[in-house]
Formats: sequence, structure tokens, C-alpha cells
Amino acid sequence: MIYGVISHKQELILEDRTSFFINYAGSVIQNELHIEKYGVSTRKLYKVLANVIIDWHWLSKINFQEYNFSGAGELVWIPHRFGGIQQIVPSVAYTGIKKSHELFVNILDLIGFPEYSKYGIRGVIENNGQRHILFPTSISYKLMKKTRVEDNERYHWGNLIKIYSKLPDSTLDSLASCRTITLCLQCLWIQFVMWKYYLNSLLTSIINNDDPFSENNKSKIKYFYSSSSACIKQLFVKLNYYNNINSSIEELQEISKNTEYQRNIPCNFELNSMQFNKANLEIFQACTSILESLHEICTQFINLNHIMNDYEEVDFTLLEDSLDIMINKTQLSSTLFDINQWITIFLGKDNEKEIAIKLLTLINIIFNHFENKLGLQFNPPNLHYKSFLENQYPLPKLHFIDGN
Amino acid sequence: MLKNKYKIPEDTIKLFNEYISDDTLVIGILRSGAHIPHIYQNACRNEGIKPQKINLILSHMISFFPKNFFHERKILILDDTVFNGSTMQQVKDNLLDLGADPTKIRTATLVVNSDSKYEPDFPKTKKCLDLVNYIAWKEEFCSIIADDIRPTERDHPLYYFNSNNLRISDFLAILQDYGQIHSVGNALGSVVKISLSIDSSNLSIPLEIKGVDIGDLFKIRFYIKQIGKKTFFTFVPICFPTINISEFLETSADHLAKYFCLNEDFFTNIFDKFGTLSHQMIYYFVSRGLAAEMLNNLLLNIIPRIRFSGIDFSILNPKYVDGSINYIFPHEYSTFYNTYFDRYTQILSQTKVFESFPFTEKWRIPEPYNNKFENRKNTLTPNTFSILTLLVDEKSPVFWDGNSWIPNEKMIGITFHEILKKFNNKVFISKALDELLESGLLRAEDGQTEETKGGFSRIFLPGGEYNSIALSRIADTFNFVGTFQCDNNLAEEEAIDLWGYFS
Repeated sequence: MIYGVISHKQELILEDRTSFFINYAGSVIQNELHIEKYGVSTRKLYKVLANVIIDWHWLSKINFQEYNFSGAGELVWIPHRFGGIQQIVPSVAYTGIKKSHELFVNILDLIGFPEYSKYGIRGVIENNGQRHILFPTSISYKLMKKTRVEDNERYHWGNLIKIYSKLPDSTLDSLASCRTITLCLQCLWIQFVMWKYYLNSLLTSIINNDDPFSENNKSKIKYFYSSSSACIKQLFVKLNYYNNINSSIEELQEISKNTEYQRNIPCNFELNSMQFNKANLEIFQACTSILESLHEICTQFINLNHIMNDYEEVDFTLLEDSLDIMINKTQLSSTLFDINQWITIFLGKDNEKEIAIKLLTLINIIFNHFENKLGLQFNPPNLHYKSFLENQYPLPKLHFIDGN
Repeated sequence: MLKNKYKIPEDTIKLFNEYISDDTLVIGILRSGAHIPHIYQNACRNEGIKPQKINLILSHMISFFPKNFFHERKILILDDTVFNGSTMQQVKDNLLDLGADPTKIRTATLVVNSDSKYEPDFPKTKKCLDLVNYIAWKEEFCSIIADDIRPTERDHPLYYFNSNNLRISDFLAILQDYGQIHSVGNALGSVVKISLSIDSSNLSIPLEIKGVDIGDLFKIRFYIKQIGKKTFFTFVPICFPTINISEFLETSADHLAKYFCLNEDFFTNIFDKFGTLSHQMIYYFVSRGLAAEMLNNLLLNIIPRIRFSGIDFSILNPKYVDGSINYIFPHEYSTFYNTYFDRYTQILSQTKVFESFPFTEKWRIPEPYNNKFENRKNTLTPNTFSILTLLVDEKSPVFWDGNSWIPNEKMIGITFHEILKKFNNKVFISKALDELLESGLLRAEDGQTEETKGGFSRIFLPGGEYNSIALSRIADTFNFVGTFQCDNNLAEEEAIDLWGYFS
């Protein structure tokens, strides 16, 4: 066992690099897009940084002589229900700052502290339902030189940020999520994980609640259902991105054509150790249509109880079609695929808990099938992300220097 | 197994085999250079090679030797790294002042910063590292030291003990009756480091000692390592007195020497031998003597309790611990150390059997530290680092030359007492200093400041090299007064948007 814990001093260096990378990125994006007055939306920031992080790892791995980068601080690329995004996994054990899934720190929780705000962050505003950070309009050379980010790193980081900041949001998303098959599969996988999590939470809240459709619980159910619907939608979005990735790559190359990176980005290498391959994409595609059908059944349950504001009446045809798809595509046999059962309980009175239990069971059967087919686990998000960072990280980092 | 990316143990073997012989006098520069011979020794043992004998003098004691001690000697000044060479050059200059032959002095380091203009003599093929790798190398080196039973600070006498059956938890339970305990550093090695902060009032010297202010706090650091069934301890007693040497010599030197069980002319002999150059040495022995007395008091209390529990506990001769490293100390140090070694041995050899649990003399415990004390700043960086702001108040540890930040070599140190005036919890300061010294952001030495008004004290300075820039950066964080305040609602919305309500 190698003592993997880094020293307090190395933790502070990591934090210093992270805060500078973020501030500098924000400042460059603002200047490039002339949005100093409006700031940079967190969503845009995550997407731009997600792309730059991918290139940062690979450029330095493939051509260390040219791109001598020591690390990416505490910035990581993660698959998310929004697609590939950047997040911060701090090495310092902060007190009083909540971590999502016990891993990720909210950037808006960090930037109010001097470690981040000392570069000149001007505030946070809300615009069209999104949070925008007013980054510094500029960072002095003197201040930059005090950080632990070397001159060459600063130069390349700024240039890469500039390039990616010019891309439209969909292209940013496409390149952050699907530029390689591994990244694409990670982004598909997380949709399955989140869908299962949302539906488990939704159904459990009905099963365990004496008044499952109270106003309070109803808003929870609405939230879980909407989120799970978004997962289904995103599956198709990501598959479409992957199938059309070349056009996103061409868009980027058009922007970078007069820069020194024109032949080098976007980096779309694969780590040899990664287990994904093309066959798994086809299986994922097959599983997606099964999941879509499963979601349809859940939708009918939601309609039955008039949860959503724009609900429709239960469509038994869709219910039966969905069950047929599942039977055909899984080749599983279970009484749970029998349409008669579902019709009976749907048309029964006050059967919501019974239906919820049945749905949970069906979900478990289907997801067991997915696990067998794909050789992947569909754990709750906490465990999934922990395993992802420890065992599945798709970018090379062993060449980076500890504490950077 | 420790990280070994930079092959440090292998490099020490190469260096010693090629450039050091048993007639070489190695000057180990504090703090890190002094550890290299031990890294070498351990590396040899791991490789199954017999280590050669190393004659080692610690750099802080150079001026404690009589003039011409170094005359005609073959000397190697040893440090782990060279950043700009000023430390190495200073040690070399000191040796020349003391009569060393310039043609017989050589310098050696394991690595050199690629921007350094100073070139050590050895090794002939230098290992040059850019700043990023230099820092990473240093961290790896520090992790090797962290696995040693000797503290990073090497200018305190070390007292070694061992036991066959004393559990660390039992040891800590006993210590808690005598002061506040805290751990030092993070769990990077196999050595547990504990610090016991002791109220100064628990050392009552039964005579008036003029010219000596014993300071606000004593501490004893414990370095504990289990090897098989045995547990090895290093006790390092420390205190922070301020001493007006002239006044002390005139009024109290003989009394205190007697109190320390030394010859009453111990201090005056030093003055007679070295004249005005003796002040630093006198400070050294007075302060280490006071600290050793506090350890004496502690042992008088804890040894009966340890014995009562049927636990064996012995003192170890340093030669047993040092192996092939032959420490060369000035005569006065040997006298001092042997005196305390004998006194501690006597305490441990007492075989009085207690019929009931020995009554523990009531010790005054310093006020504990908690996170809510008033000086807390709203930062991500742990509050223990806020002490660094004091170092930048008077003078910046770095200055800007228009192109880069340069460490300021004319820094003024601060004393424990000055820190206490601003951060008024002694235990907080004790813990913070331990962390900062361990990390290298601070270094400690005996010296003089304006606050001591010509007297000597233990002073704390920036760690030097790139640590000065790190220190300045951290101090900037604590001193930053910004106008931006993030709305908690927006942060909450962001978290929900990203992760949902229930993550």
C-alpha cells in the first residue's frame, strides 16, 4: 500500500490551483463573449471546463514535452444527467460545507470564501432560472504569479477556455459527453442510474406514506417523475450526439483552425484499461428502448393518479405495447408482464401502494436484466460516483504530479 | 510502503557510497539535511547492505565548538535540496570563520532546483528539478522523515524510551492528566506524533532566576512507533523562554546550573570560552534545561503510574537508536545530555511498590482550544494557518521584482508571546505551530527580535524557499477583505438543480 494521503500543504496547493483555474476560466469566458455585465452561467462553466479537462489530461499524457501540465487541481470530469460536466472534488476536509453524494462541493458555496473570491469575484446573479457568476474582469499578472499554476499552464488553460467558450451549448454538451465511446457510455449509464434512483424514490414515497398524495408528497412525486422523464430524453439526446459527433468535432476544429491546437483537439483517445467497447453501445441502445417502455408504464401510473398538471388519462394500449416491448426485448418471462394483471390493479380502487410495489418489482427485474447484459451495476448515485472516481475514471492521471 | 517516485533512498546510498568516507565530518543542515544520514542508514538496512559509519554534526551546533575544531578536517556540508544556495553558503561561511580549511570543505545535496545558480560540489551529476517536481520531491522526502522517530526539528535534545507492553491508548490516557494533547500532522507514516501542552506554572523553580522569563507554555512532543511487540518513544521537551543573557550571567547562572544538577560554573565557563559569541549557546542550554526539567517533573508523575499498571518502560541510550550515525557533540552538550539521561534513568529505576493508586499531584491544565474562539475568520483554510498573518504584518515574506515573487531573506521572526497577544489561546497556538512547522511553512530557531529587547527567544520565521510564497499566499487569504457575499438561496438552488433535493 502506498501512503496515498497527501500532506496539508499539498491540499492547499491543490485548492489554490483549483480556485485559480476556475477564476481564470470564468474571466476568460466573460472577456471572450463580452458578458462581463451578465457573468457566466454555472451550466456553461461546467460544460466548458468539462471539455478543457478532457484535453488537459490527454494533451499532457500524449505530448508531455509540449504540454507539461502538472494536474487539473481538484477539477474532475463526471457524467451527469446534464451530460459530461466539471465538478470539484476537494481534498481539504471542509467543515460546514455540504458535499453532494459525499463527494462534490457546490461552486457557489466555495466562491464566497477568500480562497476563491480574492481574485475579484463580483457576485452571483440569477438570470432565466440559471445562476451566473460575475467573475473578475481581469486578474493581474502579479496575482497570477503568486499561484501554484505555472506560466505555461496558465497560457494553455486560457487558450483552451477561449476556444471552447465560443461553441454553442449543444456542441459543448456533445463534445463534453460523447466525443469518445467511453464518455458516451458513461453518460448513458448515469441516466440509467439516475432514472432508477428517481423511480425508486418516487415509488417508495408512495409506499411508505400514509397519505401518498398529500400536497407535500405530490410535489416530491412530481419532481422525481419530471427528473426521470428528463433522463429518458437525455438518453436519446446523447445517442444522437454520438452518432453525429463528427459534426461537433468539425465545429470545434473550425474555431481552433488558426491556433496551435488545431491538430490536437478535441482529444478523443481511450484508456486501454476501460472496459467499454462498441458492442456495449449497441446493448445500451437496446436497453434504452426497454427503459423507455418501463418509463411509459410508470407514466401511466402517474396519469392514473393525476399527479402532473398536464396529465392525460391512462392509455391501456400504450401500457400493453410497453409490456410487449419488454417481453420481446428481454426474453424474460414473469407474471409481471401480464397485461391483465396491470389492467386489474389499475382499474381497482385505492390500489396505488399495490401498483407501486409491483412497479418496484418490475424495475428490479428489468435492471437485473440490464446488469446481466451490460456487466454493469446500477447503484444509488453516491455509490456510483464513488466507484466512478475510484475505478472508472476515463482520463489518464497517473502522469500528473501528486498535489497538483 | 512509502511512495518512491523519486528514488530518494537509492540516491542517498549512491551519495554516501561515492562521496563520504569515515574520516569525513558531515555537517547536516537543519532541518532536512540532518535527516539524510538516517534515511541512508534505513535504506542500507532495507537493501541488506551494511551502512558505513557517518560522523555527523548538526548545523545549529557549529558555533558551539571551539575555534579550530574544524581546522584540518575534511568536511561535507549536506542538505536535501538547494533552492538558491544561501543557507549552504551561510553554513560554509560560518565554518570558515571558525577556522575550517576552505580547500577541505565540500557541499552536497540530493537535488537542485533547476533555477538555482548555486551548484553544490556533489554529486557530480546533479539531479535538477523544476519547481513543480522540486516541491513534489520535498513532499516525498518529508513523508520519509515522517516515518522516522526523530522530529523534523532537530535542534532539541531527544530522549528515547521503549516498552514491551505499554499501549499507546493507555499512554495517552495518562498524559491527559498533565496537559492538553493533540496530534501533529496527518497520517502519512507509521509514527504517531502527539504533542502535550503543559502550563508553565507546573514548573516551579524554587529560587529566583533573574533574566529568565520561562514563557507561557511548555510542550513535550512524543514520537511513537510500534515495531513488532515493542513500542519506541522519542520525547522532545520544548519551551519558549526569553532570556537576557547578560543579566542571567550576572545574577543567576550558577543557581540555575545547580538546579539543573550541572556544575555551577557550567554557564560561566561557556561565556569564558566563547565570550560574546556564547550567548546563543547559553540560551540553548538554559531553554533546553528548563524543558528538560519539565520532562523530569512529568516523568516523576507518570512513571509510578506506569509501574503501578505492571508496564515496563525503559530509557534507551541514543547510541542504540543512532546505529552507525556517530553524532559529534560539543563537550558541553554531552555533559548536559548525560546529566539528564542519568536523572531520567534514576527515575525509571525506582522500584518502589505502591499499595494503592499513587496520588497524582494536581497539575494545572491549559485552557482547551475549541473552534469557536473569537479570532475565527471565515475561510476555507483551517484557522491554524491564520497565525501566518502575523509574519506578514511587519514585513512581507516575499517581494515582487516586476517578474516574479522573491523570498525575502531579511524576515523578522515572531515569538510565542507575540502570537499569544493576538491569538489568546495557548493550546491553539501550540497546535498551530506544530502544524506549520511540520508542513515547512514555518521554521523555528533561537534568536533575537525587537520584542525580546536584546534577549534571546525561540522565534518563528517563514520556512524559506518556495514556502515563503506559499506563506504569503495563505496570509493573503486571511487578510483579504472582499465585498462579495453569496446569497445562500442561490447556492441552494444550484445544488438542487444539479443534484436534486435528496442527495
